[in-house]
Amino acid sequence: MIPVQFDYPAPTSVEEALAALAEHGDDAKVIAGGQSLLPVLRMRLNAPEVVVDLGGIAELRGIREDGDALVIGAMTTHHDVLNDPLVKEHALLLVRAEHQLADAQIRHRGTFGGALAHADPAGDLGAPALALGAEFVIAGSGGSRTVAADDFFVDLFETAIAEGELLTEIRIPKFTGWGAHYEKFVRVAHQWPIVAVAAAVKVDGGTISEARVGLTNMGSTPIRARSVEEALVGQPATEDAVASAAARATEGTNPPSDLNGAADYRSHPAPVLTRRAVLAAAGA
Amino acid sequence: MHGGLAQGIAQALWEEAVYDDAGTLVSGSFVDYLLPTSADTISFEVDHTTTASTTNTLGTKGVGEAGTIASTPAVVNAVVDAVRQFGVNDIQMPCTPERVWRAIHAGDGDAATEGAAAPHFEEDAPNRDEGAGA
Repeated sequence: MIPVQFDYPAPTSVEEALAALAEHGDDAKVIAGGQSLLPVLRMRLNAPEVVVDLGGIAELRGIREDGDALVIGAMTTHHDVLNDPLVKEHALLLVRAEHQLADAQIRHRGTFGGALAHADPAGDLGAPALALGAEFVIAGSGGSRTVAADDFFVDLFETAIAEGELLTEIRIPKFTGWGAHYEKFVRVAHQWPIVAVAAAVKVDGGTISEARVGLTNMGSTPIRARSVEEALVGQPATEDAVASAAARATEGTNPPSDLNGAADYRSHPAPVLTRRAVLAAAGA
Repeated sequence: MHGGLAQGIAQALWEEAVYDDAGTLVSGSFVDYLLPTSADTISFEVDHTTTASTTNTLGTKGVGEAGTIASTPAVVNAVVDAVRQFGVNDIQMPCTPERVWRAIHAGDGDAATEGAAAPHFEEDAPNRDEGAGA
């Protein structure tokens, strides 16, 4: 229950952090809010020789507008994302998901970028980020690059962030005026979802004109339910029409089997949760 | 009393020691071994019967585990009763969503079939068998 001894550089700038990562290579792990890494260290599932703490890097925290996008610093806590008026106005889906992410204590320590970089397929932020078409700004020794959400999630706990690189900010296109809902199915409160669905819809005069739907824990990465999105466009925001589109939620999925449910079982709640999420997002 | 009730309900719905084929405990931490919090349980209404114990001078009795005993079968029976119309007459504890789902699909869809659980309540109790097939 006590981690293996490690060195602990605490840089105060991205430049210093990148230098620390370059120096230690794959002996180093980055710690953001520590809500996933600390249990891993305590259970000795991983024993890095160096833990680089990003907590002292002020430039990685905060939320700002940049034209048609919101820019969320990677070290912004869940609590700050949840309570930010800009996020509420332009990316309501993130508020809906953050509201159900773990508990208040974890939301005060854990970070938006840390959770996305951890890439737990049961994590609550991957599906909303994917559905909203987030862009991930990744800094490396040669400068910064931007990776689209479709390319960011590679596999179980694996992202496009390469060794020696840091996720610095996440750019979210504005979805001003869209309805949103995150429907999460758990056995006990504050747990990782067995399955969850992130939905954002634009409703004009009772008709769904645009839709974004992301699935949590229906594969080794978050999954964009594009066939559901296509089926929703042009449909009335009614129970029957939405249920018909939501029936496609399992297309292209490859759900895991674990103690909370076998893969075939997970295919049952996915369309149900999709219907509920879309209807709630549409205010129907 | 509330703790005892929560423990009994947890046994019916959440707590389970799961072993793999090699005999390794796989629900070995509270990530996998589920315990309810106040967010998962209900509000309890507790009433009292007062009968002094005759076997000690203070007339006192232990009460801490009283709630654990009946709350477990009460909840399991409620779950089974809720899906009786699908021909379900037993679900193994804890009654996980997946087990309930599989029981519904394995059921023969007819509560009147021979072998269905014998009613353990008033035959004319409200709500029973309503919504069959829903």
